[in-house]
Amino acid sequence: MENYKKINNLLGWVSFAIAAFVYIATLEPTVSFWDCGEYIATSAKLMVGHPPGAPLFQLIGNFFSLFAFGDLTQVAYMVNLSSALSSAFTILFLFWTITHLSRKIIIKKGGAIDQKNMRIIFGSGLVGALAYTFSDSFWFSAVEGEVYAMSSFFTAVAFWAILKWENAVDAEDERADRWIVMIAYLIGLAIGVHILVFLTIPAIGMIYYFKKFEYNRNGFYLANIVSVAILGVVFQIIIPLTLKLFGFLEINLVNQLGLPFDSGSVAAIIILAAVTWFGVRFARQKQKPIIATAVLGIAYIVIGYSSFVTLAVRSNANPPIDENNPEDALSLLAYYNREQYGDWPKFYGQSFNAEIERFDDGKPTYYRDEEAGKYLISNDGKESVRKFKKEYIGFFPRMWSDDPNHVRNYIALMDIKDTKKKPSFGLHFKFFMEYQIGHMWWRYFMWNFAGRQNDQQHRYELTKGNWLSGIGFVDKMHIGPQDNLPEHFAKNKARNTYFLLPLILGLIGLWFHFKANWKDGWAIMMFFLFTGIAIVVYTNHKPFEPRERDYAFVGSFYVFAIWIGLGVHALFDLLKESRQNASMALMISAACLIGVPGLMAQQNWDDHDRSGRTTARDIAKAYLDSCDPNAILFTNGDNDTFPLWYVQEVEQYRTDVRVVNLSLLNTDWYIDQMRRKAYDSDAVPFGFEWEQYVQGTRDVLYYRDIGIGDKRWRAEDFMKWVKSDDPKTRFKTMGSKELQFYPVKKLRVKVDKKAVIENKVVQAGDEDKIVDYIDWDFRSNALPKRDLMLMDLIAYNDWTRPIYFSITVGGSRKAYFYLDEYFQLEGLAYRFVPIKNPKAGQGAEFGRVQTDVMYDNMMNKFTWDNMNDPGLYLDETNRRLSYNFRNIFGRLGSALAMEGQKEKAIEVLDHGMEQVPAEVFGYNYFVLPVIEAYYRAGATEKAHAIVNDFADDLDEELAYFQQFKGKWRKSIQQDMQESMQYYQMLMQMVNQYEIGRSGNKLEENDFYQRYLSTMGPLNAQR
Amino acid sequence: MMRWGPIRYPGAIFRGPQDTASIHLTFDDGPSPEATTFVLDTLKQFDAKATFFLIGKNVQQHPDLMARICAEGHLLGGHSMHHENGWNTPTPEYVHSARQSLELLKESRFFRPPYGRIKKKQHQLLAAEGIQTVFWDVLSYDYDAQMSPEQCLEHTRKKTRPGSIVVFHDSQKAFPRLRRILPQLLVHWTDMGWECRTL
Ligand SMILES: [Zn+2]
Repeated sequence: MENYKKINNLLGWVSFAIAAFVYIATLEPTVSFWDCGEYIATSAKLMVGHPPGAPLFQLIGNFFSLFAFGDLTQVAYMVNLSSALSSAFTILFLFWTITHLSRKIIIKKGGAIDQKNMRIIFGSGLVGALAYTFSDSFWFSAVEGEVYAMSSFFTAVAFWAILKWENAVDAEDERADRWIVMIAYLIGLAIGVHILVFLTIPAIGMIYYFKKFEYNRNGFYLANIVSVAILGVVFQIIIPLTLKLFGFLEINLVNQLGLPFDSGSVAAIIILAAVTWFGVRFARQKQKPIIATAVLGIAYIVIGYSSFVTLAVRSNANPPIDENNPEDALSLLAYYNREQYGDWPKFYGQSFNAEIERFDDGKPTYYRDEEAGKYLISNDGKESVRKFKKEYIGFFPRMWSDDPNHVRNYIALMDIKDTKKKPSFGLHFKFFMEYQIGHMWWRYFMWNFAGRQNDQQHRYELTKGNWLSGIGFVDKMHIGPQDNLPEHFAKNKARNTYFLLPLILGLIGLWFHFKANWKDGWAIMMFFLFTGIAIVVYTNHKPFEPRERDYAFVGSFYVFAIWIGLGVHALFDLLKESRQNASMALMISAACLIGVPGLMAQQNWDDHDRSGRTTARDIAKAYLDSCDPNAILFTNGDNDTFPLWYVQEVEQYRTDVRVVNLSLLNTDWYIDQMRRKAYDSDAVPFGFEWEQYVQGTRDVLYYRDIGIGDKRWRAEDFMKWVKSDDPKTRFKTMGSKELQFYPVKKLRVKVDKKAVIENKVVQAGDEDKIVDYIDWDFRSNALPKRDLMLMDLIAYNDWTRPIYFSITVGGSRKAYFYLDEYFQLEGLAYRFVPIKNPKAGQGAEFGRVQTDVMYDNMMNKFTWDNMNDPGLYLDETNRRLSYNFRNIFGRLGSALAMEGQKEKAIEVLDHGMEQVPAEVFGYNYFVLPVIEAYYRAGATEKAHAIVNDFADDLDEELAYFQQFKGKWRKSIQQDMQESMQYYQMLMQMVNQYEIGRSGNKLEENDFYQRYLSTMGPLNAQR
Repeated sequence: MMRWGPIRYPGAIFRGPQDTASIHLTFDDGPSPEATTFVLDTLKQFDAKATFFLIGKNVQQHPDLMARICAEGHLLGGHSMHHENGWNTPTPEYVHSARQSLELLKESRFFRPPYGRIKKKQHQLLAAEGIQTVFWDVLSYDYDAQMSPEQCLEHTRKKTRPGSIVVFHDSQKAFPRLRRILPQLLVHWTDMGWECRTL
């Protein structure tokens, strides 16, 4: 037994060491895309990120960042390292969890902890722990600065702790329940990382029940209900209730009794402490240990999540990133409840096409008025909550979002005929099973244990992001023929196949666990269901999410890895008793080790190895380098904002540029922050006063035709109207609420030429192109707050601050506020200039190209680390954002060629194809501008070579798609159309530039011959 | 057609050295009894040497003709087994066919892609095995039944420059034009003082 403990500890740490080595070796050296930039920046400087907040993660990340020892470029690496180590510790606790469960099975069967059984226990532990180490989704989160790795760590420790409690109870330790209190504390702490840890509660409850109570059927049912109820109580009552207590006391003590600010918060702390104290004393006196444990548990949950106080503390310091500005108990409550995101139905509520019956009053929003010494209402919340007509409300509404994109996909996916009627429960359920379970969980589950087709985002295509086993007939059944795969499909680094081996071993383990010890099996099953299906039910995914969401379900993959481990135990158990010896135990363990974790490591390494990758950082810098000093840069998405925050906040790069995220600009707190100086960037000169933009005021303005619609107003007059409180600017709708409107959609902004020239807004030589005024026709029938802010900036623009829009803000004129006629492309951003571009709004090509500025930015200022290294792994997000470079290199090349600077054009294009080369990025839509530019520059050979290379890929694709016959044909049709369309675009280009007016005969052109020989048979088929 | 080649197929041959007064005649798609015999006899008259790119299937049918080409000092090259079009043929299959057609010849490392249609990847794989892809810069259009022999003659004479690689076809299909133009072209080139050499 002593020996067992020693080896168990040793091998646990061996698993930890392997995992730590793997994750550190493959760690991303700097910021990654999506939320990582925000998390790293808010960790390094202890700022306030997006709700519901991750204060503990930030504190730990901040601790790690100290080890950069002042080298600002290493801070992100250090924060990422906290993920790597959290993940390695997760593996440690997974190993111990598996060996505990495996040993319990041996003991239950009356077996001894002898050499052969020890080997099989440890074999199980290693196989399960290492399989999870190398699994797709978990590895993904282990090598970047996001909360999911640390969240996994807390989940693993919490579940392991209940097993330690079990051991303690077995050892008749009187103080065994301290483990329960520790679990409560861990859960409290973990709220400061991510609330996913709550989902272990039902499983922990079942372990507790099986240990403490004699089994009978009714007791079992009751235990299940109680375990789930505890989860509900913690999630829906304890946490919100304590916050509400703070809020309630704060408002009432300050406003009703006239006490100073924060006295309510102090009172709440005193009340909580007193309740805990008396609760424990009462339980002790009455000899009720369960009550004492429960009271202490609740107290420790509250203590654990007190890390949220740091958010309020930091928010009061008004740091540059201060999302939602949660400075006191009231705003912290709103922040934690994610009020910004609104609520969505889970079990009962409206369908996507529900008609609104009326607006009910919502909760008022308070703000602290220092002068009055009171909390005042900034937004009364009247008539702000939508109430839907009864006939659209039903049980288990799975199709609920009224976003037009989602609605379109609901209708298409479920083949809904009558779009006005509420879909039946059956249809909601079908959507739940097919999309929410099938595509948003099962597919991810299979990625991890069967294999993965590629890293492209799946939207029901047969060719993107499906699971894949590598066994021909299995894959053929769900995604069609896999023979003659185009080479660039097969080359995708994320194409990983495990031949179902991890899945099969896990299923054997699951079956065996229930057979050998069904009670533990059931507890683990609860763990599996709550970290998998329950998340699906709760989040109620819409079609389609902006990115793949597999990282949210790692809990359920963790559980399955336990069963993979027990699968080893099962294989041994299946042997005849006479053959169950120590050497067989070793052989089975070794075979499973190679066949499952070994295979997974071999397949997954190349697409999880992020070492050397700096794309996110380099692109962020390129955005900033596209701007002149002291610029205001408008951005819109996650990936053109968060990495920029990172390079500015952490690496202190180009802090003179002010990044203004347009999606946040609808909130009053963000406008507040923009009106403050940050580092080298002066306040953004928005001309609104706080009372004029506070939430509830001018959230949206509506156009109303009062008969002057064709008039053109001076922009200043329009802004005066907008800022006015005059009742003549208001109208009433069906409710009682007064709304503001605007009567014209045409403005004239006068241009101060002298200021334009003095501030060097336009390049030398372009002065004669400056217009006297800008006629601005915005066609919107509603203007949200952010539009008003922008209009104000443009109306009173004195040209001292350069104004830019990132090229990823959108793809329509509306997305650019109909200002695109006055855009000048200078890199990854358009500059707003007083020069009219006559060709505005053709396709997605906005703006005129100022070749001198753009050449300097793209050839001299942008730094390219190693994006073109084929050894690096660039996932779809990285590739997608890099394609923007191809696009702008093409546009610059074309513009230079049109100006007659053909050599310079070719230099630019060659440089572009070198930095974003075909070997790494392949060919797609974004290479077309490059081809065209080569033609325009007279480099026909180079253009023609790319045309043919692209056609090589398309030929392979089309040959592959033609194997899809019968029922498969329809599903592949869209991919096929797309390939054919590209072929046509290439032909069009060849025709235009090689035949055109040149006198060459089309029939003699080799690409035309090629086009005919490919498209002829295809067109005949149609 | 040649204009685009060099960038796309690095290492492939499109034209010979331009500083000598020599040109390179190539004959594709053979051997076939009537045409190949005619070509060999004609070349012998002018003491010209050429390169023959043979289709594997035809070599298997007429090994004697292959032997004669060799014996008379001409060079051999492969032209795939069944005249596959590289753009429409899966890469492994195509490379296999090219390799096989070369194995039928003794010690040849030259390969001409049928129709001149070869994917970049296919070219790269062959190059990796040391196989030299040979294109051309002058096409005689002898295979084109729409063209009159006079047109073919005129076109080929105009396009050929020192170092040119000229394509003819010793196939049954091209024979009506080939028999008319080859002797006349050889007379013309001899007049110019150009020598016909193997690659
Ligand atoms: Zn041929």
